Amino acid sequence: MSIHIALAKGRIHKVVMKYLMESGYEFPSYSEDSRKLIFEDAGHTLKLTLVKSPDVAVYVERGAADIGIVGEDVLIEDNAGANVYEVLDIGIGRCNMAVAGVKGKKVDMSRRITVGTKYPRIARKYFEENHHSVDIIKLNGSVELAPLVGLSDVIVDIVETGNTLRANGLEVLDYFMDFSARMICNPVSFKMKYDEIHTLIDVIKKKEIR
Amino acid sequence: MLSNTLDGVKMLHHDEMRNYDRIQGKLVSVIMNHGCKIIETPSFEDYDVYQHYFPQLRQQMVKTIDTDGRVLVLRPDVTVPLVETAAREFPRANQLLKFGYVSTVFREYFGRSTYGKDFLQGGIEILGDPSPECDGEVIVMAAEILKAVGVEHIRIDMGTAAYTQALFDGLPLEEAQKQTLRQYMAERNLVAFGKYLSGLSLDSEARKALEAIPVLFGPYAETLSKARGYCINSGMRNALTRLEKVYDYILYAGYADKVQLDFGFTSTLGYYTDMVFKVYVDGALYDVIDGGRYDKLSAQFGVDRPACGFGMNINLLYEFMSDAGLLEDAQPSFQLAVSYTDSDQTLIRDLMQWRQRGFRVAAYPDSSFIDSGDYSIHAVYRNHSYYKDGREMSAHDLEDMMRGL
Repeated sequence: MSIHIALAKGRIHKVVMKYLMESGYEFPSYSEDSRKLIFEDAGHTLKLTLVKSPDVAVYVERGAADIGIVGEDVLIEDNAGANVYEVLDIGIGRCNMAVAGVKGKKVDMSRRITVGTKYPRIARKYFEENHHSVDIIKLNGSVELAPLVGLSDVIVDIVETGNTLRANGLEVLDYFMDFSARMICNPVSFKMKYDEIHTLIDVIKKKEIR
Repeated sequence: MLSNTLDGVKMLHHDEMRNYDRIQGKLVSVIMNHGCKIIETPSFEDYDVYQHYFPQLRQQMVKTIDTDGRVLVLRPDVTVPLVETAAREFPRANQLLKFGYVSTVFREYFGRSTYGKDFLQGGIEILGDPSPECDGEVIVMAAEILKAVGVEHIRIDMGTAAYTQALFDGLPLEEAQKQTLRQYMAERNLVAFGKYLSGLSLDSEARKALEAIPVLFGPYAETLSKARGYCINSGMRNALTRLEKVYDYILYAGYADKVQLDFGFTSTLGYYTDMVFKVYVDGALYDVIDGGRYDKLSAQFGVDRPACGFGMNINLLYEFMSDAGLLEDAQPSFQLAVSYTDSDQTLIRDLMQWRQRGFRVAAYPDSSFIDSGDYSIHAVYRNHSYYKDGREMSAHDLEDMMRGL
């Protein structure tokens, strides 16, 4: 039985593909810049589909794919309550969620503040837990701009190196969550294809330890 | 022009209705063979009752307000009102009650490519029988229904909530810690479960059992013996002994080759108290039937009575049967369609006689268009006679043709 994996397009799929190829799987039709979205390995044991990250859990939950690999941040923000197994912390793509504001400018947290973010659910949860009243503006990119042009007081965003923040004159006020990529699994596939899935988990685990 | 843009609602067409009817007919006949009485619970239920018993359904339920201003919900399930009514009308706790139903349930569901705001649910509930044989019969009934509709390749995953419950009861942990573990199990979050578990202080036996349970599934004999190895108290052992009796029933009924064990079934609510099962159909990544024993529900309505049952999403089964080519093909709605320029008493009398003999016939003015897929035979009625393909025919000839279809 072959297993079908939905991979989050971008950094995650590039790393996972590298892992798999280093572990002996061959994907004749794959190259990093190819526009192709479906690949099969030469031994016909794996089929991979590249999808946008918030769609990974949808594919897996509905059974269009057996397994998905996607960032934990996406699972929390876009796929809360999805009926899937979270089977493995793959450990790649580690990053932090952070609150950031304009460097040197004090934010008065005692009044209602405005937050610009791509992650409204995660941001709301953070501020609720810290007892702050906030207005959230959902943005789709270039979140760093928001405090600079006066759209928001602070932003909540993923920070890896902090370079983008520094380049735009922002600084981190608080790191509050760290994320990594997760392997999720359709609950029925998990049982029906347990052995195949476990072989794959072992392959990826071996990589992770090194 | 207003158009309907609601997601998850659609009209069912003639062929779909016929296939749904056929599935329902087989289901009802199987459950009546087991002595179940067919019932229907009210379309409306009290919101407060459901909020109490199924808080997790709160958002999913379709709410409405009646003329007195009370909040009602459209039937979100059948079990609760059925058990409640049974407790009111049949208060003898040991009275055996076997019910079956096919009802629309107003809850969202997802298939691989289908989505709906409501679905047709078929199911049974047996009240007043605590025996493992009863659990066996419930599972066998589920399998027989699928067999009756032509679904041969099925897999029954059976487990026991009592086993997990006994394990949790025996753990030297705070209630809140147990809750967290159960929550992660119910969410199927094995990563968080594993991380949380590694931080708890437990002896190695209990730890091994907890690590194993979420992924303790597989062939019957092998999985049962593994499960036996993880027992840390008599509660767990008793749960397995009972499960073996359920299996025996299924074995003698001829379905043992379909059964696998799964100890990973969980629910945070503790709704199921003992045997739990799901039935999967070959090639579909969702279960079409799930059920189990829920001995504590009826007591909440004042009658402490054991109960066991299952529900089946007929819409999902339909999707599967459609993909697997198990549905019946479209059939023309008219056996004979007659177009006329002028209708008269002969035509009307002939139509009435044909219908009395059980033929599906209709006449229509020749100014109307009729789809060729809608009829088997087409005739023209002109100047008091019938013509088919230009040849004159008697009413008798046409009837013979219909008989030959």
